[in-house]
Amino acid sequence: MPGEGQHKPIESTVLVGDERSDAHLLQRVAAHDAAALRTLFDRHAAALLRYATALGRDRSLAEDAVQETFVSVWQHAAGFRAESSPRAWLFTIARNAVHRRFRRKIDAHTDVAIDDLGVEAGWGDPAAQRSVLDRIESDDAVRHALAQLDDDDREVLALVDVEGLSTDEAALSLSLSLAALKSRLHRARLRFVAALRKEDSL
Amino acid sequence: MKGEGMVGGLLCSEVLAALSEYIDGQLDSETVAKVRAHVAVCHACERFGGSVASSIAALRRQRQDATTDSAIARIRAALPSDPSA
Repeated sequence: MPGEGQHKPIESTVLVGDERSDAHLLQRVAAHDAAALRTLFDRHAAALLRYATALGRDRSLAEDAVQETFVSVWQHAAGFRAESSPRAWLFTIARNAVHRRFRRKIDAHTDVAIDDLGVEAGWGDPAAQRSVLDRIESDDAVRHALAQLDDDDREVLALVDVEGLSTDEAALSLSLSLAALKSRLHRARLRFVAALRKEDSL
Repeated sequence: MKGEGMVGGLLCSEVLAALSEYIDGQLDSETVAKVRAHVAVCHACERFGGSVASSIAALRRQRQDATTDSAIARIRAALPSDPSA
């Protein structure tokens, strides 16, 4: 089947040439090096803004959250633990900033069986799968399907499938065990496909 | 699942449970071989796996969002710039 193997390269935060690693930049930010802060910003701000927008569904409040994220990085870079992932740390700060602005919907969805999620997403229904493949051609349909998901599902998809964090980084960022992260990711993907499928009948 | 079968040593429900890890390349080689043997025969799982993998790829396209540029410039202009900020 398509997509087998590693669909998302693990993006190293250690770059070649004259680029500094994120961890090194954070050390310099901790010493109040404003240029280092800007380099870090240029590297990650767009991803953080997309993530904050996906979480909160409001661009202007998401902009505030990203601004707060970098003010927080400026003030608290010394608190970053070198053994952790800088990118996971940035996404965690952004997530907290978003959550201060948006009241989260109470997550009431119970653990639906994977089999049921699979059937909802079109397993065993060739017509449903053709619909899904048609819908993913449209960026609007993809965005709309994402918007139908609850916060937890949208969050994990935004981190791993949109922004390309590894499952390890996403687990760190969301304070979940790797097993819990993978379970949430798998369910979120199936619900996303189910949402795409339902788009077709709108 | 209704109509599922045991193929390649795995039930469809087992393939479904392992699908994300399969797509992400996170399964051990023995399980990968079983999944491949299953989807080589089971069209329901083969097609479903394809639609899930394609949907994940469509999410990755969301990264190409040019509408962030002006917002990024605004936020960057307001970044702290000196130790007293």
